[in-house]
Amino acid sequence: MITGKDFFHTFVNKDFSIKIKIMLNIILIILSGVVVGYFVRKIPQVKYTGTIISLIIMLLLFFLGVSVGTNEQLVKNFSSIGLDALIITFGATLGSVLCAWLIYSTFFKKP
Amino acid sequence: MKQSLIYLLLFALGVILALFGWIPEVLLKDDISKWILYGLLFFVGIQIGSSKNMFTAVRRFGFKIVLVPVATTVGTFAGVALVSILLPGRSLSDCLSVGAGFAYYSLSSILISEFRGAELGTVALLANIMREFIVLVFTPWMVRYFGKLSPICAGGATTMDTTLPVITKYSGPDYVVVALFHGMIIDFSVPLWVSFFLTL
Repeated sequence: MITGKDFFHTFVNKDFSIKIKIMLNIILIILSGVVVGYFVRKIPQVKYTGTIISLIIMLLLFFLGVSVGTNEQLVKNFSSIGLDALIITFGATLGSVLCAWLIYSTFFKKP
Repeated sequence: MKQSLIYLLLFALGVILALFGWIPEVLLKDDISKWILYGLLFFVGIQIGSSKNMFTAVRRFGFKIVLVPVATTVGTFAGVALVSILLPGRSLSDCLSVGAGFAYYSLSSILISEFRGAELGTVALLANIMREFIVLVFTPWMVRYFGKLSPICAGGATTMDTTLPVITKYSGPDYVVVALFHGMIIDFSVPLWVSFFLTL
Protein backbone atom coordinates (compact mmCIF):
# COMPACT_ATOMS: atom_id res chain seq x y z
CA MET A 1 0.00 0.00 0.00
CA ILE A 2 1.07 3.51 -0.66
CA THR A 3 1.35 5.71 2.35
CA GLY A 4 1.08 9.47 2.22
CA LYS A 5 4.82 9.60 1.73
CA ASP A 6 5.85 12.60 -0.21
CA PHE A 7 8.01 11.63 -3.07
CA PHE A 8 9.46 14.97 -3.93
CA HIS A 9 10.09 15.93 -0.34
CA THR A 10 13.80 15.35 -0.46
CA PHE A 11 15.49 18.45 0.82
CA VAL A 12 13.01 20.02 3.17
CA ASN A 13 14.50 18.85 6.42
CA LYS A 14 18.10 19.30 5.49
CA ASP A 15 20.09 22.29 6.66
CA PHE A 16 21.01 25.49 4.94
CA SER A 17 24.53 24.62 3.76
CA ILE A 18 23.20 21.59 1.93
CA LYS A 19 20.66 23.81 0.16
CA ILE A 20 23.41 26.19 -0.93
CA LYS A 21 25.33 23.21 -2.26
CA ILE A 22 22.30 22.05 -4.21
CA MET A 23 21.79 25.55 -5.66
CA LEU A 24 25.44 25.61 -6.80
CA ASN A 25 24.96 22.15 -8.31
CA ILE A 26 21.97 23.41 -10.26
CA ILE A 27 23.86 26.44 -11.57
CA LEU A 28 26.88 24.34 -12.53
CA ILE A 29 24.76 21.75 -14.31
CA ILE A 30 22.97 24.41 -16.38
CA LEU A 31 26.20 26.24 -17.19
CA SER A 32 27.90 23.03 -18.29
CA GLY A 33 24.85 22.43 -20.51
CA VAL A 34 25.23 25.92 -21.98
CA VAL A 35 28.92 25.34 -22.74
CA VAL A 36 28.24 21.92 -24.30
CA GLY A 37 25.30 23.43 -26.21
CA TYR A 38 27.49 26.18 -27.62
CA PHE A 39 30.04 23.70 -28.97
CA VAL A 40 27.52 21.27 -30.43
CA ARG A 41 25.23 23.95 -31.90
CA LYS A 42 26.18 23.06 -35.49
CA ILE A 43 25.46 19.33 -35.06
CA PRO A 44 22.00 18.66 -36.61
CA GLN A 45 20.90 16.30 -33.80
CA VAL A 46 20.80 19.28 -31.42
CA LYS A 47 17.30 20.00 -32.70
CA TYR A 48 16.04 17.02 -30.68
CA THR A 49 16.94 18.77 -27.41
CA GLY A 50 13.48 20.32 -27.20
CA THR A 51 11.82 16.92 -27.63
CA ILE A 52 14.02 15.34 -24.97
CA ILE A 53 13.18 18.18 -22.57
CA SER A 54 9.43 17.74 -23.20
CA LEU A 55 9.64 13.99 -22.58
CA ILE A 56 11.55 14.41 -19.31
CA ILE A 57 9.09 17.10 -18.20
CA MET A 58 6.15 14.81 -18.96
CA LEU A 59 7.72 12.08 -16.84
CA LEU A 60 8.42 14.44 -13.95
CA LEU A 61 4.98 16.07 -14.06
CA PHE A 62 3.45 12.61 -13.93
CA PHE A 63 5.53 11.93 -10.81
CA LEU A 64 4.47 15.28 -9.34
CA GLY A 65 0.87 14.23 -9.95
CA VAL A 66 1.55 10.95 -8.16
CA SER A 67 2.99 12.75 -5.15
CA VAL A 68 -0.03 15.07 -5.07
CA GLY A 69 -2.44 12.14 -5.34
CA THR A 70 -0.75 10.18 -2.54
CA ASN A 71 -0.88 13.20 -0.24
CA GLU A 72 -4.35 13.32 1.35
CA GLN A 73 -3.80 16.74 2.91
CA LEU A 74 -3.02 18.16 -0.51
CA VAL A 75 -6.01 16.58 -2.22
CA LYS A 76 -8.32 17.95 0.48
CA ASN A 77 -6.94 21.50 0.16
CA PHE A 78 -6.73 21.61 -3.60
CA SER A 79 -9.15 24.52 -4.04
CA SER A 80 -7.37 26.76 -1.51
CA ILE A 81 -4.08 25.92 -3.22
CA GLY A 82 -5.63 26.99 -6.50
CA LEU A 83 -6.76 30.28 -5.00
CA ASP A 84 -3.26 30.99 -3.63
CA ALA A 85 -1.86 30.27 -7.08
CA LEU A 86 -4.34 32.67 -8.67
CA ILE A 87 -3.44 35.47 -6.22
CA ILE A 88 0.30 35.04 -6.84
CA THR A 89 -0.21 34.99 -10.61
CA PHE A 90 -2.38 38.08 -10.45
CA GLY A 91 0.38 39.99 -8.65
CA ALA A 92 3.12 38.68 -10.92
CA THR A 93 1.28 39.44 -14.17
CA LEU A 94 -0.01 42.86 -13.15
CA GLY A 95 3.42 43.90 -11.84
CA SER A 96 5.19 42.90 -15.05
CA VAL A 97 2.53 44.48 -17.27
CA LEU A 98 2.88 47.80 -15.43
CA CYS A 99 6.68 47.73 -15.69
CA ALA A 100 6.35 46.87 -19.40
CA TRP A 101 4.07 49.86 -19.87
CA LEU A 102 6.61 52.11 -18.14
CA ILE A 103 9.59 51.12 -20.31
CA TYR A 104 7.45 50.98 -23.46
CA SER A 105 6.23 54.54 -23.10
CA THR A 106 9.67 55.79 -22.03
CA PHE A 107 12.05 53.99 -24.42
CA PHE A 108 10.24 52.11 -27.19
CA LYS A 109 7.22 54.05 -28.37
CA LYS A 110 7.94 56.20 -31.37
CA PRO A 111 6.54 59.73 -31.11
CA MET B 1 -1.21 25.08 -26.28
CA LYS B 2 -1.44 21.42 -27.25
CA GLN B 3 1.72 20.66 -25.34
CA SER B 4 0.42 22.43 -22.21
CA LEU B 5 -2.67 20.23 -22.37
CA ILE B 6 -0.56 17.06 -22.58
CA TYR B 7 1.48 18.21 -19.57
CA LEU B 8 -1.65 18.95 -17.59
CA LEU B 9 -3.19 15.59 -18.55
CA LEU B 10 -0.08 13.69 -17.43
CA PHE B 11 -0.13 15.53 -14.10
CA ALA B 12 -3.82 14.69 -13.72
CA LEU B 13 -3.17 11.08 -14.69
CA GLY B 14 -0.54 10.85 -11.94
CA VAL B 15 -3.01 12.28 -9.40
CA ILE B 16 -5.78 9.91 -10.45
CA LEU B 17 -3.63 6.76 -10.55
CA ALA B 18 -2.27 7.64 -7.10
CA LEU B 19 -5.74 8.31 -5.70
CA PHE B 20 -6.81 4.83 -6.74
CA GLY B 21 -3.55 3.35 -5.44
CA TRP B 22 -2.48 2.04 -8.82
CA ILE B 23 1.14 3.08 -8.58
CA PRO B 24 3.69 0.32 -7.99
CA GLU B 25 5.81 1.13 -4.96
CA VAL B 26 9.06 0.88 -6.93
CA LEU B 27 8.18 4.18 -8.55
CA LEU B 28 7.95 5.97 -5.23
CA LYS B 29 11.69 6.27 -4.64
CA ASP B 30 13.07 9.72 -3.84
CA ASP B 31 16.42 9.83 -5.53
CA ILE B 32 15.30 8.81 -9.04
CA SER B 33 13.44 12.08 -9.52
CA LYS B 34 16.45 14.11 -8.39
CA TRP B 35 18.70 12.61 -11.04
CA ILE B 36 16.06 12.99 -13.74
CA LEU B 37 15.74 16.63 -12.71
CA TYR B 38 19.49 17.19 -12.99
CA GLY B 39 19.42 15.62 -16.44
CA LEU B 40 16.59 17.96 -17.40
CA LEU B 41 18.56 21.02 -16.27
CA PHE B 42 21.54 19.89 -18.34
CA PHE B 43 19.37 19.68 -21.46
CA VAL B 44 17.84 23.08 -20.72
CA GLY B 45 21.42 24.40 -20.68
CA ILE B 46 22.17 22.77 -24.03
CA GLN B 47 19.08 24.35 -25.52
CA ILE B 48 20.13 27.80 -24.35
CA GLY B 49 23.76 27.36 -25.44
CA SER B 50 22.90 26.14 -28.92
CA SER B 51 20.39 28.84 -29.83
CA LYS B 52 21.59 31.65 -32.05
CA ASN B 53 19.01 34.45 -31.85
CA MET B 54 20.51 36.14 -28.83
CA PHE B 55 23.05 38.48 -30.42
CA THR B 56 21.16 39.39 -33.57
CA ALA B 57 18.34 40.72 -31.39
CA VAL B 58 20.69 42.93 -29.38
CA ARG B 59 22.22 44.29 -32.58
CA ARG B 60 18.85 45.22 -34.03
CA PHE B 61 17.22 46.92 -31.05
CA GLY B 62 20.33 48.16 -29.30
CA PHE B 63 20.97 48.02 -25.63
CA LYS B 64 17.47 49.03 -24.56
CA ILE B 65 16.28 45.48 -25.35
CA VAL B 66 17.97 44.42 -22.10
CA LEU B 67 15.41 46.56 -20.24
CA VAL B 68 12.59 44.19 -21.22
CA PRO B 69 13.66 41.15 -19.14
CA VAL B 70 14.63 43.55 -16.35
CA ALA B 71 11.09 44.99 -16.37
CA THR B 72 9.64 41.47 -16.27
CA THR B 73 11.77 40.49 -13.31
CA VAL B 74 11.31 43.68 -11.29
CA GLY B 75 7.57 43.86 -12.04
CA THR B 76 6.96 40.22 -11.18
CA PHE B 77 8.81 40.33 -7.87
CA ALA B 78 7.26 43.66 -6.84
CA GLY B 79 3.77 42.42 -7.70
CA VAL B 80 4.24 39.10 -5.92
CA ALA B 81 5.72 40.80 -2.85
CA LEU B 82 2.66 43.05 -2.72
CA VAL B 83 0.06 40.28 -3.00
CA SER B 84 1.94 38.05 -0.56
CA ILE B 85 0.36 40.26 2.14
CA LEU B 86 -2.93 38.57 1.20
CA LEU B 87 -1.36 35.15 1.85
CA PRO B 88 -0.44 35.09 5.54
CA GLY B 89 0.02 31.32 5.42
CA ARG B 90 2.94 31.56 3.01
CA SER B 91 6.35 33.13 3.49
CA LEU B 92 7.53 35.90 1.18
CA SER B 93 10.38 33.75 -0.16
CA ASP B 94 7.96 30.90 -0.98
CA CYS B 95 5.69 33.30 -2.87
CA LEU B 96 8.65 34.81 -4.72
CA SER B 97 9.94 31.37 -5.72
CA VAL B 98 6.51 30.62 -7.24
CA GLY B 99 6.56 33.99 -9.03
CA ALA B 100 10.11 33.31 -10.25
CA GLY B 101 8.68 30.51 -12.38
CA PHE B 102 7.82 33.25 -14.93
CA ALA B 103 5.19 30.96 -16.49
CA TYR B 104 7.79 28.22 -16.97
CA TYR B 105 5.50 25.96 -14.96
CA SER B 106 7.09 22.62 -15.75
CA LEU B 107 10.59 23.42 -14.62
CA SER B 108 9.63 25.69 -11.70
CA SER B 109 7.07 23.30 -10.21
CA ILE B 110 9.50 20.41 -10.38
CA LEU B 111 12.35 22.38 -8.81
CA ILE B 112 10.10 23.71 -6.05
CA SER B 113 8.70 20.24 -5.32
CA GLU B 114 12.22 18.96 -4.99
CA PHE B 115 13.13 21.64 -2.43
CA ARG B 116 9.86 22.33 -0.61
CA GLY B 117 7.53 19.41 -1.24
CA ALA B 118 4.58 18.77 -3.48
CA GLU B 119 2.29 21.36 -1.88
CA LEU B 120 4.22 24.46 -2.96
CA GLY B 121 5.17 22.61 -6.14
CA THR B 122 1.48 22.36 -7.01
CA VAL B 123 0.97 26.05 -6.26
CA ALA B 124 3.83 26.77 -8.67
CA LEU B 125 2.39 24.50 -11.33
CA LEU B 126 -1.06 26.09 -11.19
CA ALA B 127 0.16 29.69 -10.81
CA ASN B 128 2.51 29.48 -13.76
CA ILE B 129 0.04 27.67 -16.01
CA MET B 130 -2.45 30.44 -15.22
CA ARG B 131 0.14 33.04 -16.18
CA GLU B 132 0.64 31.46 -19.60
CA PHE B 133 -3.11 31.16 -20.00
CA ILE B 134 -3.67 34.83 -19.11
CA VAL B 135 -1.23 35.88 -21.84
CA LEU B 136 -2.81 33.58 -24.42
CA VAL B 137 -6.25 34.99 -23.68
CA PHE B 138 -5.71 38.65 -22.75
CA THR B 139 -2.89 39.72 -25.09
CA PRO B 140 -5.11 41.87 -27.39
CA TRP B 141 -6.43 43.74 -24.38
CA MET B 142 -2.97 44.17 -22.80
CA VAL B 143 -1.50 45.55 -26.02
CA ARG B 144 -4.35 48.05 -26.35
CA TYR B 145 -4.03 49.48 -22.86
CA PHE B 146 -0.42 48.85 -21.83
CA GLY B 147 1.56 48.84 -25.07
CA LYS B 148 3.31 46.29 -27.22
CA LEU B 149 5.76 45.11 -24.59
CA SER B 150 3.12 44.16 -22.03
CA PRO B 151 2.35 40.62 -23.30
CA ILE B 152 6.10 39.99 -23.58
CA CYS B 153 6.75 40.89 -19.95
CA ALA B 154 3.61 39.07 -18.82
CA GLY B 155 4.56 35.98 -20.84
CA GLY B 156 7.84 35.49 -18.95
CA ALA B 157 9.80 32.49 -20.17
CA THR B 158 7.10 31.40 -22.63
CA THR B 159 7.65 34.27 -25.09
CA MET B 160 10.14 32.18 -27.08
CA ASP B 161 7.71 29.31 -27.67
CA THR B 162 4.06 28.95 -26.61
CA THR B 163 3.02 32.60 -26.45
CA LEU B 164 5.17 33.76 -29.40
CA PRO B 165 2.42 33.36 -32.03
CA VAL B 166 -0.08 35.51 -30.15
CA ILE B 167 2.57 38.15 -29.36
CA THR B 168 3.59 38.24 -33.02
CA LYS B 169 -0.01 38.78 -34.00
CA TYR B 170 -0.84 41.62 -31.61
CA SER B 171 2.50 43.34 -30.91
CA GLY B 172 3.58 43.00 -34.52
CA PRO B 173 6.46 41.18 -36.25
CA ASP B 174 8.90 43.91 -35.15
CA TYR B 175 8.66 42.57 -31.63
CA VAL B 176 9.42 38.93 -32.46
CA VAL B 177 13.14 39.40 -31.83
CA VAL B 178 12.36 41.15 -28.54
CA ALA B 179 10.12 38.26 -27.49
CA LEU B 180 12.76 35.67 -28.43
CA PHE B 181 15.57 37.49 -26.68
CA HIS B 182 13.41 38.10 -23.62
CA GLY B 183 12.22 34.48 -23.48
CA MET B 184 15.74 33.18 -23.63
CA ILE B 185 17.04 35.42 -20.82
CA ILE B 186 14.05 34.70 -18.57
CA ASP B 187 14.22 30.98 -19.37
CA PHE B 188 17.80 30.88 -18.20
CA SER B 189 17.03 32.89 -15.08
CA VAL B 190 14.13 30.69 -13.87
CA PRO B 191 16.17 27.90 -12.22
CA LEU B 192 18.60 30.46 -10.80
CA TRP B 193 15.93 32.66 -9.19
CA VAL B 194 13.83 29.73 -8.00
CA SER B 195 16.75 28.02 -6.28
CA PHE B 196 17.90 31.39 -4.91
CA PHE B 197 14.54 32.11 -3.23
CA LEU B 198 14.32 28.59 -1.88
CA THR B 199 17.65 28.88 -0.11
CA LEU B 200 16.53 32.03 1.72
